[in-house]
Amino acid sequence: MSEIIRRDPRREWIARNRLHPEHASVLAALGVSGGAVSEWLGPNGVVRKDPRAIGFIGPNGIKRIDRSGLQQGGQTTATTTSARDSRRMVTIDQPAFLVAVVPDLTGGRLSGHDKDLLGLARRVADADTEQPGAVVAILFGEHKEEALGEAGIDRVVHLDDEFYAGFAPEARLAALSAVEREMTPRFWLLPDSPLGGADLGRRLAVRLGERAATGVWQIEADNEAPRGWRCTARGGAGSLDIQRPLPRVALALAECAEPVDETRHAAEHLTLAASLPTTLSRIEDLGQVAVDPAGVALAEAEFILSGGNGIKQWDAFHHAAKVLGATEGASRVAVDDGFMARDRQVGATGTWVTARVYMAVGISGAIQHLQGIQRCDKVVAINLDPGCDMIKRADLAVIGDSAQILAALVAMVEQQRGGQRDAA
Amino acid sequence: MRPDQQQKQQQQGIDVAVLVSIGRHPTTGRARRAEQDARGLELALSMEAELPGTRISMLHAGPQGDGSEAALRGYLGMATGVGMGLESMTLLEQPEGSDAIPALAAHLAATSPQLVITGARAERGEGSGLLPYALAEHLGWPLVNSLASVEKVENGVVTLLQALPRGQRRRLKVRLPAIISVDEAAPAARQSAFGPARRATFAITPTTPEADSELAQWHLAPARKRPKRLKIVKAASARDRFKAAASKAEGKGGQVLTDVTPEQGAEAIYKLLKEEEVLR
Amino acid sequence: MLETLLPILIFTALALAVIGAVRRIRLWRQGRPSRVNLFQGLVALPRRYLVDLHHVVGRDKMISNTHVATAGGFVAAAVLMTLVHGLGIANPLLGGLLLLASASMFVGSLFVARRRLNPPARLSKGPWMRLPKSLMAFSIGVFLITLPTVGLLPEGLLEGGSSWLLALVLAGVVAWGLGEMFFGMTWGGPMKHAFAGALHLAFHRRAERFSTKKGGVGRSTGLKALNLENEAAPLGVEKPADFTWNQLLGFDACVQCGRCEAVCPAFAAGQPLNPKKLIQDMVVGMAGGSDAAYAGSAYPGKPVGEHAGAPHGPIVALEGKALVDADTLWSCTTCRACVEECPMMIEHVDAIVDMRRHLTLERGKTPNKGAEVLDNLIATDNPGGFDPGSRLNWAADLNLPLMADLKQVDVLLWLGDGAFDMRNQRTLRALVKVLRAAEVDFAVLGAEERDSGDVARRLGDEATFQSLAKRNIATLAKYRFQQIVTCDPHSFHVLGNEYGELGGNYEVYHHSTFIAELYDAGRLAFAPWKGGSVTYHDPCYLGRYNGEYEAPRRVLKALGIKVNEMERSGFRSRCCGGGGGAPITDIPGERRIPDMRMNDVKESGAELVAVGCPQCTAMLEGVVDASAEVRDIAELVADALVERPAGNASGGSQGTAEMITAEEAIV
Repeated sequence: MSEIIRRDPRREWIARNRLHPEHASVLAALGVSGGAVSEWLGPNGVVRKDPRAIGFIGPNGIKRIDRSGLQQGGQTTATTTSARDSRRMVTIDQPAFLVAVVPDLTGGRLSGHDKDLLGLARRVADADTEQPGAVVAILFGEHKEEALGEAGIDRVVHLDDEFYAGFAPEARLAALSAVEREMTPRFWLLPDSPLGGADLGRRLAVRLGERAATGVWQIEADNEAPRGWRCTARGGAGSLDIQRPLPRVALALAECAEPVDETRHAAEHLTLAASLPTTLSRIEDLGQVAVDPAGVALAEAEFILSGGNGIKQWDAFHHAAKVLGATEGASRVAVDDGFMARDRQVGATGTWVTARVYMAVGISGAIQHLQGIQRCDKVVAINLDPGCDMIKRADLAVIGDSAQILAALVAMVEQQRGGQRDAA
Repeated sequence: MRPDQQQKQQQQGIDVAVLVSIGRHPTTGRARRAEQDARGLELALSMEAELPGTRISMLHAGPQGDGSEAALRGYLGMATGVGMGLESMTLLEQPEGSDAIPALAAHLAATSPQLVITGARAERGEGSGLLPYALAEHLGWPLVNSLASVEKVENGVVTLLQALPRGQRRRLKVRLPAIISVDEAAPAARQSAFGPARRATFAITPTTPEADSELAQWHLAPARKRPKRLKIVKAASARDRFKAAASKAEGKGGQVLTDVTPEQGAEAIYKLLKEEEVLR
Repeated sequence: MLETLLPILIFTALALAVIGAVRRIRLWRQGRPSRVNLFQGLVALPRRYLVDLHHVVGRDKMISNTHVATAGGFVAAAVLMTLVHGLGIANPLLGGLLLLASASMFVGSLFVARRRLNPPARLSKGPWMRLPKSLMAFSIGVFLITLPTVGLLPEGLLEGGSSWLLALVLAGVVAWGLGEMFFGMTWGGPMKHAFAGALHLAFHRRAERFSTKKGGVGRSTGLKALNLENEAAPLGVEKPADFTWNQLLGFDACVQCGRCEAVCPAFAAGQPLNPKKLIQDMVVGMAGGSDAAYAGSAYPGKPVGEHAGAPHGPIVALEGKALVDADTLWSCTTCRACVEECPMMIEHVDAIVDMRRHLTLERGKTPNKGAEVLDNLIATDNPGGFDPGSRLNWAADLNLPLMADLKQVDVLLWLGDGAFDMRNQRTLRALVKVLRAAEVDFAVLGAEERDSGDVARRLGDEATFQSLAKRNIATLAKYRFQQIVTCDPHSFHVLGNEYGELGGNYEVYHHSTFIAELYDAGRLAFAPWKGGSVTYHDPCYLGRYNGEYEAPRRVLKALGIKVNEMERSGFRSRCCGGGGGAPITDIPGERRIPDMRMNDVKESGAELVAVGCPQCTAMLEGVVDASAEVRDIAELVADALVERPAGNASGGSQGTAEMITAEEAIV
């Protein structure tokens, strides 16, 4: 079909040859979707150039113009085609079967895990090109996701009644049971994510009397399996790989499949025919509890302000942690010197941390300490010594007096908060 | 403590059953007390400290053997201190490869504890984590997963804190009887002591075992390392692919700000904190 | 009048002393039984006292002489006085001897008094401050009442009408002296140490620590195994009465001289431990009561008077306070400095480990990382929780011969848990290089090796220790070797001194000893030392535990290094803070022990400190801004290795020849 890009060597040659009489017209023909012509012969025979139409955006965000000539023809074509939405629109009007997916929708958006799962659902649905199945997503609560179709969803059942909010496994399970009654999907796929699909999926499985496959990370077509698929699932606390036929309910791990990125789908909204009975819940959600960041266990904390030998004013450090809302950590030396409690020690001999942001103040970065922060996403270092190991590890390092920098940061945050309060 | 108050507290005490399994050490594979189940028992023990009169019973379904006994004694060794009635564990005896769910469900239905605590998933065998859900469905009890702590028990309603990611907590009220499952977010289990572990006994109850025939058909193998997902580069030409690869390598090094005023440094940090959404 | 009064006084005092002794003995007998050969002990008593005890006391000549004069004078005076004044045998010869004895005692008591004028902090005050006066009262009193006996004073002096006052005063003085010396001895005064101390020496639980006429070394440092087979036997010590009776007796022998306090690294670091106070607390617990009467230095940070106990009450409370707090017991590094210094031969470390055993085995209360380490030892056979199969990963390029392949070698190289530590792997590499240079026929156990059990045992987990030890013994039993060489003094001590009780008897060498022997045999040659000044830190488990002070120094000398000794070295070496699981239990103090030790190094002026222990290396290297480099002896040796001169090579080639034959024999 048309997705096969066919090259026309002659036209490309003309495109490269600026002196060819058909140069401009070929360029125009290649740059189909508004690719501006950068050079043309003006009405009075003068060659005109449009510098804005050429060049590309470099990796650091600066526009670069490549004068080697590569820019002119084929290259421009490539960039324009990639800018254009090359994704195929796929609509499945008469699905042979349904694959139900219940994404987590963390924070109202499809998470990476959700998208992987939808990719898996697409694989299952599209296995037989003659009789494709449709992917139906059951969404709970309000969502801000616009790209449902792009993620590979054919049908959407959106349930945003307030009794699904928070921790409402019973209500959600009742809704899924209703979907089961009305649509009877061939497969139910959920993300095996703690406090999301892992919980709901297991509830659904036992409700449906299915022995769910959990921790699925691979599926393969298998004609001998009852449903045509075989899956590999993690078992025994991650120590085993279990190969078994794919059951009706499967809970899959992140990266179980590639997310959909070549097709777009209808994401057509469906409503359930029967109104759902309001179940009397035996579990009442009293809402989230305010947690003092200082009391959060280091291993769980998402933002850690960690102090070491370079800290001279510990009061200011504690104040900064409070203002920033960070959990406090410390290097071994700071703990040994008695400035911090032992349970605050970060490192191989203390706690291994997994923070999203780890801010190391006055810590030079002994190997044991760096080992302990391996799994942190972003490391910010404030240190006087530009040559220390922590600076080498850091994503952002500021060389200077830590007390002043912290004070400035605290002032900045307080000012920002103050401003917001004034505005509100 | 005034007597009436004491009496009231004693009324609060409830029957707690803790389900324990035989764990597996991740590096050596040796039998041990399972991490999550031990946390479950720890939760029960801390409940006992808070609510006098709480009675804890431990339950395990599986075969009898030296290896498993040593692992189970790991739980019994947690009964340190005075006045903890954990000198015995009920062992629902069934051969290896039996389905534990029917035996446990039958026993729980018969003994009817008000609260059942279990680890989220087993460290051996299938380890699917379906067991607590299957029991809840069998018994028709509500289930709460990922528990952090039990706050109080009042008039047949238990107030719990459920662990959310990143140290956050959610408060729930659940009508008893109920099943709660714990994972790594629950408080770490106390040390198991040799003395109480050695003294404890097993109350062995025979069951009518049901073989887990489905599991027997599956193919179990030591876990393979999962392939690491590569960053997918959508590029039409080799030049684009090269550029993408090169820009990645470039972005690896961190940004180092030297000779800046404290304010400039703070601003750069502030920007990063905002981007990472850690400032609340 | 005195003639009638004195026998009454003397025999009353003696009778009271006997009653007190019975009471005291009953206190000791609250303890658990312990098999001791009473008769042999009593026979050995004089030698134990005169040789072994005075060997320790003699480290301070002044005190030693004072004690000889005072105690010798007293014992002689007491016996003679009973004869002369008690039984009325007014023999001038006996009287003369009695005069001499009491004079000697008086001179001694003058020195005791001088010492008490401005006593150092380690000495206990309280009743001990009156002791010199009591000693003087006794000696003067006895001297004076004996003067008439030998006829140096007119008989009538004390007879006249006006002299009855003088007689009464004299009788009073004698009564005071008798009261302190006889009555106080068994009723709990300072003189208790003489009574309890003598019996303690006779019935010591480690009879083997005393020298014998045949020239026995007199060293017994291995912990005694707990009987785990007998389920009725208590696991460690929960209450004072759980100690064996001779341990309780030993506590009573304490003279509160505070030598232990002065050398205790934990006390110096401000951790809540004072060995002297601990022993006194046990004495309080044995009799029941509070520690309020204690008049010495308290546990740092814990005021005196807040703790109390009873013979059958818990030593460490489940909640709140009892006799001793748990952190006191966990502060000990088991360095044995206190035992080494104790003139009364009290075994502090045994008592501490006994109490730790209860805390770990019965209560599951090993503090901080203790529980994690013990769990790791159970699950992975090493304290770090590493994959046991990766024990030899560091040596992937060294092609170390494995016992499993060779079955029989001269030397089994025991790697220890340092094999998992990147710093110690450097030491191990150096040691392998040295062994290869000397063409030693050696092999390692590789993945078959387990932790020796040292840490588990010091943390009180006897069950895990015995499990590890038994499995190690079973592994070692599969192979034939002449000796075990290790660079870890802790493994060295446990394999050599503590496996024997469980059925594993080996000839174990610390690598410094082995290298010294290789050098003496001409199998190693060194380039002259070119570095700066060097000091040597004696590891506790090599030095005090095993008496090996010389070999490391011999090796350093062979390297051309003149050791710049620290003030505290040899048997007085200060612990690095790494023993007894102290870094794991991590009890906070005011200072860190390794910092203090590095300060000792700094004061010696050395630029490099040679060590022979992975724990010491780790602890000393962990000191921030250290002034000296830390190197293991094996590293220094490996760096200095040069080709042996041709003349000396014969020994080596012989070794090779032997090795080949050994291999042939296996094939």
